[in-house]
Amino acid sequence: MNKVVADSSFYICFLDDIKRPEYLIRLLDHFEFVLGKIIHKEIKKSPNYSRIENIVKRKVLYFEYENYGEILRPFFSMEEIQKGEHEAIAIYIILVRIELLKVFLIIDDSNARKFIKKNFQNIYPMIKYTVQLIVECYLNHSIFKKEEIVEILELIKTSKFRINKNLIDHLLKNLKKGDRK
Amino acid sequence: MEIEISKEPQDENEVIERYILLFLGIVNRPIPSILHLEKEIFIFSNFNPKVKEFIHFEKHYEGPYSQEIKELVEYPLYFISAWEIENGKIKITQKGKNLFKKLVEIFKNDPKFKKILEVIRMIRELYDKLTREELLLLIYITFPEYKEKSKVFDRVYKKREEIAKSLFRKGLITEERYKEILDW
Repeated sequence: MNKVVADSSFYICFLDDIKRPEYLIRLLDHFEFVLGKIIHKEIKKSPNYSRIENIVKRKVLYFEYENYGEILRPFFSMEEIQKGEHEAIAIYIILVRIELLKVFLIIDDSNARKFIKKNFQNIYPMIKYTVQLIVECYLNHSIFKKEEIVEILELIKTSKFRINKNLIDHLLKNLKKGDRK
Repeated sequence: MEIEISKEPQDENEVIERYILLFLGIVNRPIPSILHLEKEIFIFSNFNPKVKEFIHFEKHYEGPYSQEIKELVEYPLYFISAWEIENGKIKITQKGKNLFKKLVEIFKNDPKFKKILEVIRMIRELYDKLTREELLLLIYITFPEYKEKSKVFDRVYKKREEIAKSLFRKGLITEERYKEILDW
């Protein structure tokens, strides 16, 4: 099963920004998500966290004993630290290097992506945007139907979730053109 | 004489020397200075707070400092001649490389050990790139409690704009962190 490491904004996107926790539940059920302390603490603040609490307890791999965020904390701002971007990056790098598995890293913030590009060039091509993972779930994993993907992308486009809207338009255009493999 | 190394360390000093050896052996280049080694192990101890049970970091004139590390890197009790200090840099010797290999071999099936090695590798990959001033600036802004007894804080703080620019140019800090340092 593929592992996924994502920062808190990925979870908040489904829970609060587009208010579709049911889609997040499907993702949590399909992949093996990995959570660190900071990201877990942050998503627990969501008023809709109770919707995913059971599946998080049951299925998510929780790294609760070590402070992964501490490895990169000095290089990130307070706000970035709160979202857990630095923690997601550290967990991802350690996982990939130890397990040599296919692991997805979901990072949407351009500053965090630049940091990875500059300091961990070899993993940069493996990072995905939230919306890319969603489309991949339709194309390669049959987790979502096409109309659901379109709905999610349209909802994200009009939500406060910070993402380049052109990327969403591009993905929507490609979805309309082609079918899944 | 060949140094023996077993699964169980003999005492806390040997544990600390093992950490020094791991930091030196994981990347094929010297550690830039004792200051770097001290701060890198400090970062590691924040990742795994159990380390703080036997390595004690105190407030010192150059930020968090462990007397144990300083003494054991300069005068090791167990891994004698496993490393040497040359022009301020700490270099692993051939003897140290052999010991490092033995240590890795002993724990090769321990997933926790593999994780520790990768965390150490990551710390070295990033923190070795920092100059002394860059390292100190990031330590002081991240752990302000360590400013207290510092003799260099004022100098580093006055140069924060220049240091932050250098860090940002190298891609070592994010744009948000850069702005945060300027507003500090």
